[in-house]
Amino acid sequence: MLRYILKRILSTIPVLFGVTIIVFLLIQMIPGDPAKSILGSDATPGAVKALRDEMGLNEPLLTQYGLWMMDLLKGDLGYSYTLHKPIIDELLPRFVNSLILTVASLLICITLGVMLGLVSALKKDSTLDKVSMGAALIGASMPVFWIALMLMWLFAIKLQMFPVSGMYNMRNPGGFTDLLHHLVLPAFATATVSLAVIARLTRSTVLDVLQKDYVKYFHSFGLSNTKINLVHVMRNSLPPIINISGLQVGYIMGGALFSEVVFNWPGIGQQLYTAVTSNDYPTVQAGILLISLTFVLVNLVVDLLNVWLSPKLQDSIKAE
Amino acid sequence: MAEKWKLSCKAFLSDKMAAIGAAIILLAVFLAIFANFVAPYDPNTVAEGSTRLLPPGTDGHIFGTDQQGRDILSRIIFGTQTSLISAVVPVIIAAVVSIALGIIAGYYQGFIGSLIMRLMDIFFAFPAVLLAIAIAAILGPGLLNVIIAMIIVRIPYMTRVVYTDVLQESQKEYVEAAKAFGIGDLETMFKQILPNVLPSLIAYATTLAGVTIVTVAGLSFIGLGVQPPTADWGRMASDGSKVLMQGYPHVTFIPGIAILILSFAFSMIGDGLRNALDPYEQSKMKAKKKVKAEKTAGVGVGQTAKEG
Repeated sequence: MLRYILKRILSTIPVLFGVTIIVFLLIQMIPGDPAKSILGSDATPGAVKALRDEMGLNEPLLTQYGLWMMDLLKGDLGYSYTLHKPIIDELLPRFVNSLILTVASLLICITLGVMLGLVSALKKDSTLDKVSMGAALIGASMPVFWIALMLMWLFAIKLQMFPVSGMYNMRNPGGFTDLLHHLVLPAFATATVSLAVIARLTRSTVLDVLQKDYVKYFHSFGLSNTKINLVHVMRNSLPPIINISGLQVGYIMGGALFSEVVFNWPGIGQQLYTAVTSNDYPTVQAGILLISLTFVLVNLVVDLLNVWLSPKLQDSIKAE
Repeated sequence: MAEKWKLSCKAFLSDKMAAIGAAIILLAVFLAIFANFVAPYDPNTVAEGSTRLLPPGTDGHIFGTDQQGRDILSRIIFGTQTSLISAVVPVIIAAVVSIALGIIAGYYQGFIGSLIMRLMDIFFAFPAVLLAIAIAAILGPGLLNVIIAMIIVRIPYMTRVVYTDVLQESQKEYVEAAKAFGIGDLETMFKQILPNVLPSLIAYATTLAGVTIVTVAGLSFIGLGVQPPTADWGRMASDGSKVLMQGYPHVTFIPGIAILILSFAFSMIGDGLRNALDPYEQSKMKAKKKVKAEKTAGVGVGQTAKEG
């Protein structure tokens, strides 16, 4: 078991390494002279040359990567010529804000998704099942930015139940409840698609498990329905649900960008958007790097969680 | 093989949702090709003040107009062009690349196989939307660059699907037989194995086309992708968000619905294809056919008995 965990942890190292290579190569993909593109069209030739030297653009590619990697290990994500400061200083506080939004969305889509899927499976073919699965089917095809805009229009502009934008009330910041109040709409907008996906998967998994012989045995033992459904059926349905929830993390991190833009949530996604529109390539690079490194770690945790929760997987690992 | 295809077709056609999806796609293709004739107005004609931001249902503008007075219905109709191109082109190109990569990786396995698949694993470390945004942002705005970004983002997913299928197929007797007959690797891979893995890839690619529409709309929303004034649903919704606060939700709402419907249609066809290819669904169709055959046969037997 310990060997598996160790192996799984070690297996992320080449992936992390590969991620840095791809992110590094992104800047090389800039058409023309990267230094010129980064500084903008009105940069003096002297400034361009200085930046070329600093980025080591005249060095061979491998040396460039080495230099960039050294900086990275020191926690230096580069300098933004648009923000006029080291990128890490801008991204780190935003990273925390994005984390708040991501975790909230994840909690919403997993709890509501699993609940909806479970109830739909137990009440198969009922009106509730049909309506919620129909909604889930449609929900999975919606663009996040559009959900965000529609939620904003309905709940913030029309009904004025929630604030239109930001993370805290500007004039009168009110701590945690104020944060929650601002969090509801962006979190739901980010969660909707994943909620639909998780609900559909939970339903089909639970329906599968309900067909299994051991569930029938439990019934013949006289165990109560609630106990069978909530304990045994749920537990055996968990692995695929955890798996898909783990996959949804990536989707949520991507979707959060759109919610952050629409609701002016001061996270990494919003900064990425600003960077994209102002051709601030180093910030685009750093943002992508930070998010994907987080994603790799999340995937690792999800995999280990899956093993921990699934007796079947543990057996197959032991058998190896 | 022919029997299998027949059953698949039958299963697909009997699937109501898939049929609806197919009808929607056909309609979209029709609108895209004949946009010039179908659209009531020029999609880019900017109108004067009084016809700006007309609500849906206004005479002559069934979906209303946007803040520049352009007819939303006409822009939706013209928008099918970019939506279909940006959904289908990247997926087809990515599929071709993935077939090559997946078959080579799955057939040879060993060093080449793990090299290809580990490379794909690295791409899975990025949330797809963000990688697409980064690539498109660095290449610069425009439909072509969005298509390039989407191709890169889709290849790992499709390669993995081809690879897993090829691994399974490689175990089968016909591959061994092909090898025993001295048929070359290339021919075995692309003439023997490919036809067997293609159907499930097509089903997956169709679903991905639906997802791609949504992703591309997102890219348009943040200003990458098709540049104005070309009609594009993502861009329309994005522009509409500027007048959302002033109480004109229809400018955002309608293009979003269009994106939703088209994406939904693709995923319905994808689901339908997947079910149709599922041996279990096929056996259900077979069972139905058998029952039918037995019924007719039963009537025949009864008749002969009577006659006898």
